[in-house]
Amino acid sequence: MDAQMTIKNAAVFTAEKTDFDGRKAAIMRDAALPDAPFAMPRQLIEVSRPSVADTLLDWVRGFGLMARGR
Amino acid sequence: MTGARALSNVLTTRACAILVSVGLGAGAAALFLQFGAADGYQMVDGVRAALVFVTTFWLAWGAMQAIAGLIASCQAPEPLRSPITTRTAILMPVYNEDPGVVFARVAAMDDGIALLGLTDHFDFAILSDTQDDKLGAEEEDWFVHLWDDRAQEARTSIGLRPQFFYRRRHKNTGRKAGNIQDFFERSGANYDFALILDADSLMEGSTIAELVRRMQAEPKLGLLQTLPRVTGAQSRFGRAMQFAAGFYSPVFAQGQAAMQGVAGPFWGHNALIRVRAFAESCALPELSGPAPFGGHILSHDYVEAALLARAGWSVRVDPDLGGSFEEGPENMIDFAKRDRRWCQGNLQHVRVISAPGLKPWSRFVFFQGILSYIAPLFWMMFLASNLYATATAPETDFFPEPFQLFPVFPSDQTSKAVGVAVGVFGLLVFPKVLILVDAALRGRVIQFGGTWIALRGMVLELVMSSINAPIMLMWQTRAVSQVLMGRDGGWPAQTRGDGRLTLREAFSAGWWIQIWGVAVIAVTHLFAANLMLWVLPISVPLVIAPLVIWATSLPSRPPVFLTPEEFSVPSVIADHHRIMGQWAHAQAPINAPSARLTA
Repeated sequence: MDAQMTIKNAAVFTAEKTDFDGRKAAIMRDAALPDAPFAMPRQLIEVSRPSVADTLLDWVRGFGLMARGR
Repeated sequence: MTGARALSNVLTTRACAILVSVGLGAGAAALFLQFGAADGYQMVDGVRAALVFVTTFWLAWGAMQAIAGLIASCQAPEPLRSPITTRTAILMPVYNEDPGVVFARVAAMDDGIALLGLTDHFDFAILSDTQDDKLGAEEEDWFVHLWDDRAQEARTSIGLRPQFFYRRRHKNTGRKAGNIQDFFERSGANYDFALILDADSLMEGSTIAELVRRMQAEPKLGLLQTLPRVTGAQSRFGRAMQFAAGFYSPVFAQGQAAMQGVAGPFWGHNALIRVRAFAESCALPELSGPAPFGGHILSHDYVEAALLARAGWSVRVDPDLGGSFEEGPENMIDFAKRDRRWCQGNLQHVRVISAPGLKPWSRFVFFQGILSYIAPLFWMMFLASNLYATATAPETDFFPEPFQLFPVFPSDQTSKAVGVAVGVFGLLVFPKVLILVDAALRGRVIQFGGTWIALRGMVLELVMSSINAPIMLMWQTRAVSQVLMGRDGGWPAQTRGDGRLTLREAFSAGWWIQIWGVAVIAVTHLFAANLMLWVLPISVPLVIAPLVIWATSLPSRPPVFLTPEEFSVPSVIADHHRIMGQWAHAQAPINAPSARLTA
């Protein structure tokens, strides 16, 4: 008898849960964020500054070019 | 007030505050140099004087904000009556929170708005970044509960749009800033304004409406920040902070507002933003290199405020706006965890401070934030340099010249060092005393239980913060050291609840501080015993740190630290409690546990 009731209760619970999950899915669809995009351009924060080594390399290259008369 | 006059006032206030702070710092450094060099100048005396300059400047700068706030404070303007013609999204970002409690806050704010008949102008969007799938499923169950509670089915069944939205990101890219940005990139064009909240935020309907009206009235206003009052604290530590925030912060915020002008602050929540301004100027890039200095910008709010100002928008804090609430940490450990995050975020601003086109004041704000976390290191260095100077001081030479007949006694400059110490103490206490006097004169003190109860709260808070300060100093020093060594603190979820700690928890958080306390006493005893009396107020709290951490987490009850919100509970907080009670007693969502929902 108890076992039958437990099985019945479990069945009722499973059915309720299935109903709830179905309804939840429908609500989640209705509650999805509205589709109205606003573009957000990425802001400039870091300016690429040449390192000391890069500056030195550029200077050497420039000197080389000048020395070769280009 | 005209724009030119307002700008002139702001510039004058800034100039006065900086000049006085630098002057006091320089004066203290000069006095300390005379004291230190009385037995002959050494390099360490110069170092000590420099450290006195920086630390005194920093304290004086805080005091000047209070004084500027007292001078600038005026009667709050009358609420605007203009009709609301705009649409606002109320954004509730959630990250591993208790969904029942958070969604009850949404319902309470909705009630406040509905009472004003303004429902059609506001939507709520719950923006979940919860990474735990089980908690995420719980959120969905509670959202169904909220949906039913707010009768959304009745709206959608007759073809109306819902007013409650829920979205969960399975990857929390960019953390809170990324969460908000994702909302604008999906749905921003639907709204004129967005009210950004935290999961623990609550705002009165009338405050939200006033924010919108002020924003409508000023087309160049990009962001309007409220001063959230800390509420709901239950522990000694939490209630002391809640009292201090309620009693002192409005004056300090008024001072900040007077100095910042239109390059004001954004504290990340309880603020209204203009969607177009924010979308056009606040998409944050990832910084190059690895965390903690690279990667996503942690303390995004300061950066967003600076970017808005760079783009020509006004950013303003209106401390006169009441009805804006948040919760604070309940114990020192939670405070230190939050501070660790803020520390990393502020130090990361080293990478942002040189961004092109920023207003000078925005750069100064970044500098302030960095200094606020580095200042404890200066105090530590000051302590260490004094121990070193005393330990290495030359023996007093009463006969400096050969064949001298009478001894020469060194001039006693101790009074100058004592004067500096008294001055430093004065900079800490004087603004608070002024605020108490001002509150008594203006009648604000009644909301805190009257002059005597407020005075008692003030003295107790002063004693507590004096005991807590050395312990906090250790945590801050550790946090700064970790960041400088490249350790990323991550993004832990906030701890909610009454915050009560066991002695074991307190000990495991504070044992290493005890060791430092014992070491400081031992080193002082060995090398500079005559400094012991000066060192004890710092070292004793360190030695008993676990006890302090534990004791301050114990419950506290009014009247001590009474705040206006405890004196008379604001309607939105009462509504939140009522709704939580109703939801706890009603049938819980089929999958969700309801145990945590107790009013």
